Amino acid sequence: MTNKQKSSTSDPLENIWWDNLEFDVSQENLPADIYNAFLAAIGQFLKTKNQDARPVDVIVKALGEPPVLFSLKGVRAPDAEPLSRVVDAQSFATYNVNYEKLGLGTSEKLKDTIWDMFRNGDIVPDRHFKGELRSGRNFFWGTPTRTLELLCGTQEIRENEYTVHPPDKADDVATEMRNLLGLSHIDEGVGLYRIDIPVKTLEQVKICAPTTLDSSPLCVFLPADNTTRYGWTLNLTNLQPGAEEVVVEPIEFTANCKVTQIGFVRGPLPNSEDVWSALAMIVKERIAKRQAN
Amino acid sequence: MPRKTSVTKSQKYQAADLLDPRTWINRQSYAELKEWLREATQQRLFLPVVIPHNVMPAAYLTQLLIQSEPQTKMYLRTIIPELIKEWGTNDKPESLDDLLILCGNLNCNEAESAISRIITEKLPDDAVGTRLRLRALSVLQEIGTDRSLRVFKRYIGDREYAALCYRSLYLLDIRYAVTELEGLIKLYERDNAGDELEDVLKILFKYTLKRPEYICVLQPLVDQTPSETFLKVLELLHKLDIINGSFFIQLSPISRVEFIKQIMKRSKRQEKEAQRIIALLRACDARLDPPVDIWTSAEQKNEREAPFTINFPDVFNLDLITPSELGGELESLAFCNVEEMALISALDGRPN
Repeated sequence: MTNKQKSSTSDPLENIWWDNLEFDVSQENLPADIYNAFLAAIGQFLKTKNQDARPVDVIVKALGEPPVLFSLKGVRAPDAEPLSRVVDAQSFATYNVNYEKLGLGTSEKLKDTIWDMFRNGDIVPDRHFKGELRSGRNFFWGTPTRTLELLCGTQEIRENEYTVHPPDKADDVATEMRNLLGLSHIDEGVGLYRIDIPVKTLEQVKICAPTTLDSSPLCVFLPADNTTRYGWTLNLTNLQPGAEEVVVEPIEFTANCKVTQIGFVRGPLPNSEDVWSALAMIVKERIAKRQAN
Repeated sequence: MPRKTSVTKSQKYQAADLLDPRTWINRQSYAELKEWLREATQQRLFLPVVIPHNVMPAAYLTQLLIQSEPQTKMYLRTIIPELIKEWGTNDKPESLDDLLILCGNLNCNEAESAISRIITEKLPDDAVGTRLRLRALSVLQEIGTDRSLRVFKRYIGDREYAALCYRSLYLLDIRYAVTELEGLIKLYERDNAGDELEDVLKILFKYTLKRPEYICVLQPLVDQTPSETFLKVLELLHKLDIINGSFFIQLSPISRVEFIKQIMKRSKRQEKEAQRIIALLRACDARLDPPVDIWTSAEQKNEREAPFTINFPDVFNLDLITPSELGGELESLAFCNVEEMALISALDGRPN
């Protein structure tokens, strides 16, 4: 988060979320029964909740119980191809490295130690990768690997472990990646890893274009239209649609995944008002265009 | 200890708090903050914190709370231990996991006894219990004091927890790095887990100690490691590039000679392995640089006679060389530099 973030908008930010949902429905991204079930959950919540609940409360509550009801319900399935996920150093160290087996403690310094170990080739995928690729909900967001491959060259440290090459470009690449993927929660100074998942690993899991029901109520995201099988990020550099996105069922994180240590994000996030205004405008334009058609 | 107020409903938040909840967090009272964190960890209702859609909640909360104001952090350092203490076996494992992650990252020292109790009494021995015990031990490593020694000693014999307990012990007292290593070697050998032993030593030497501190562990290690594992340890440390040329070069001359002398003593006691020990030291390419020139008398030096030069490899045979073999009495040391004195002292057992 950045200190520049502030909100003066009188139009609740959740409205963008509702507009996106409306767009999803219009594009038939969601099965009708799922949409109806979600509306019923909202209705149920409104009946039992006190009057001063904010719209965001309603969305979070409805999405949260039970999460499996509304997640991964997009009807558009992308082609089988390698996917990538970009994670911050803290998450990678905490959830995807078996640091306890290495003897390391849970602390603020952990992400730095793991960063150094990775760079030195001391993180061994077979022994040290652990956990799942997932988020707080029961899936994770990914992007086609081809989108990110263009951003940088890599240098092998050991099998399936890489760093950016040339090294002096690493931080620029991290910043560009953060912006392209619209990772508006990742502030300056955060280290990033890119995890590439081979097609074979993806064969057995559900993958679909994300719908608004997969996103959080404050989410920089654009659902698929009926011409594509992907959702879109908002590129934080030019505030235009950025990279293609999909949502994926949790995957066991193993040595089959290829990990590239990218670099540290340099440069602040854009002003959040600008981001939300741009997103709101794109969303409204899409709805208007759809209505005109 | 902050004054506890009666638990009230958390303050309502504004639209701006959704975008940047730090201000909201900072203005919460102790009781409000506790209520919010309890709800967040138990029911996964984090508002006004909106968890980004692609991260695990505890990772995001950690980043957020680390940035909070000192007063708020002080509250959290009491609240989190209290919530950990409240956790029971009927509560969700995820809730404890989140609290432990926050606890370790925010350095909540007050949680020490609660976490010890969870490790030893509350967690089952199934897969979930083991995973949580690992997390709990890893937090205890960060916040634990001597009071936690018994916990680490209790679990160090279990391979699952051995690496964590080993490091936890030596972070409390570096002497454990030496005294517990033997048991660890046996444990990993029994399970054919040599790789894990390498990891443990890498973490000790490459990611915990600074190079000048190596000798503090290596010296007693050479002294105390039993014969049956001595060579194994030595070869492993060489393989991991811990005992190498640059290690020797960075030692002070006296430490260097003393250390080599110690190793050589061990090689004498382990005759069968002496050649391997010497070969290993040679492979380290450590040298007394420049080579030590020894004159056997002041006259010899004054007359610029050719000295008896000991290059590094010969040091390994020091114990075999008697002063007489050097060509005379080594009585006058005034013309020797510190390194030479140490070497000579090592040779004939005199004090430096």
